Amino acid sequence: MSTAIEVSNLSFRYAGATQWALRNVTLSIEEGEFAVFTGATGCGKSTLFKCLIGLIPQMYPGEYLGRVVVKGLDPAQTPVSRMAQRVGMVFQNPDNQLFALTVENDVAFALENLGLERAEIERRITKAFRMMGIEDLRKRSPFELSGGQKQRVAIASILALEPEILILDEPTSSLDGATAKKLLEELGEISKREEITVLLSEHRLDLVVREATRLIVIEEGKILSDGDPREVVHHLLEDDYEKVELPKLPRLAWMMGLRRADKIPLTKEEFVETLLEVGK
Amino acid sequence: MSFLVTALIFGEYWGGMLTVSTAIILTQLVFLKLAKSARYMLSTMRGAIPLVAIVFLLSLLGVLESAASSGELIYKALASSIRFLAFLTSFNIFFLTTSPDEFGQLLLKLKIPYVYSFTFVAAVRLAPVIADEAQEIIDAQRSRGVEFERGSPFRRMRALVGLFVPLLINSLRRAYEMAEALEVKCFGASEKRTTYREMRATGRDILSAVMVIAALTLVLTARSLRLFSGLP
Ligand SMILES: Nc1ncnc2c1ncn2[C@@H]1O[C@H](COP(=O)(O)OP(=O)(O)OP(=O)(O)O)[C@@H](O)[C@H]1O
Ligand SMILES: [Mg+2]
Repeated sequence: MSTAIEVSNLSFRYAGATQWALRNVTLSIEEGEFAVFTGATGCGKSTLFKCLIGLIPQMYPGEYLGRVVVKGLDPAQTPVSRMAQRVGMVFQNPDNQLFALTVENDVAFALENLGLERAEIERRITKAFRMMGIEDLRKRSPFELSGGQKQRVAIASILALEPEILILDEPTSSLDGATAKKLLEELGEISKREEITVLLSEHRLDLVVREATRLIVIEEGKILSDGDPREVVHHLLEDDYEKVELPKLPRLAWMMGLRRADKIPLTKEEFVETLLEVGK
Repeated sequence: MSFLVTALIFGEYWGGMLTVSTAIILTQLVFLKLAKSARYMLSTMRGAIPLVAIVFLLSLLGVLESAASSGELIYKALASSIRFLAFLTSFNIFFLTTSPDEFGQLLLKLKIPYVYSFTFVAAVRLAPVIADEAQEIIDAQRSRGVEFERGSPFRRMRALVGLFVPLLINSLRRAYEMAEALEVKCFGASEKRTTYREMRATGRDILSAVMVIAALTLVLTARSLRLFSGLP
């Protein structure tokens, strides 16, 4: 496995702000990982993501220290439109990312901007529609879709770029729990099947602990905890950390006194297993 | 129906200037038939009736002094109303038959840079989003007891400030977010942008074009011969 993203000692302060939004962040993400970023609102998740694709510092002025390497490119120096061909970025609010008046044209939009041939556009958007399971929305207008459908269209329009890394900033913030869970599971599938490295931010850890290969907790611009989700959750439980919504099953197990780091249950099956073991 | 209708409307529009408004409305009905949306169009026009009535009344008042007889007065007022109606139907047909995407493509065909046609499409795309947002703010303000429809003009103005300030701030934030989204969708990355769905002129488009040109020639010759000088 090789490294997809390497962040060293990154600090950033928005122009005019007194506080640093990122403080000395060091982080490395391997190819194929499904990395989940969490932390209280305003902790700097979106800021970090914007650094990875170069929107910071290229679009946002401010004080930028440290170094970022993404797929061998320096996002601070590479035009965002070039970064974007390898690193797809989906923002929180789909309304501000959909530009065309039919879903189909919207998913084709980025490819048109790249000047691809019509046959190639057709191939890629058909694949993106299939991946997101929205073939039936092709001719619809983005206005008349539900929030969840809009979010899927927004993701499809980025998947059509065939990125090697996919970054999603709070992709589920406007979705209910069940819908959100389904979307995240599908993203997990896509990540494995298409070998796409996925980075996303999520407040409700319950929804992602199963998919995640990596969990990163950020607090006030610093990395508080980073590693295997089970270990990170264990760590948070030990510290009685209250700034993120901890998953329910591990918390329950913790309260029942089942506190072994390697036995923190993330799924129902693991929970039952842990209980049975204790029963013996 | 597609972009040819655009050309058509502008053609018709000149016709309107030439005060053959009634003829225009009639020809427009023919085009509507071509566009297969006649009934829908008529239903949307119903809302325009009060407007037309107002135009009629206003012109009635406006020409009051200059008119020689009451007959001429009513004739002139009627003329302005019909002219107004022709104007309305022209726009209505344009927006009913031409999607902004198509209009954007027409602009491209006319060799206007993509940035401009994109701006147009994006503006149209945004209109319902902003309308939703305005409604949300109005609801939020209402739930705090702000009244938009009652009170003295001064109070109403103040209520509107409470609507426009958040709307403006939201628009700025939205502009930023849209700019970011455009960046990551490689906007302007290639000199030679391609189009996934291209429009082609169909038989009906060509028929409309021929009709427009015929009508336009007719109107222009009629005008040069001063045939209609007395008509509304
Ligand atoms: N454009 C900006 N100008 C100045 N300060 C900003 C700007 N955007 C964000 N900040 C500040 O930077 C800090 C980090 O914000 P960021 O949006 O990255 O947080 P976040 O973790 O994404 O939060 P959320 O979960 O609410 O999305 C916050 O203190 C915020 O106020
Ligand atoms: Mg954020």
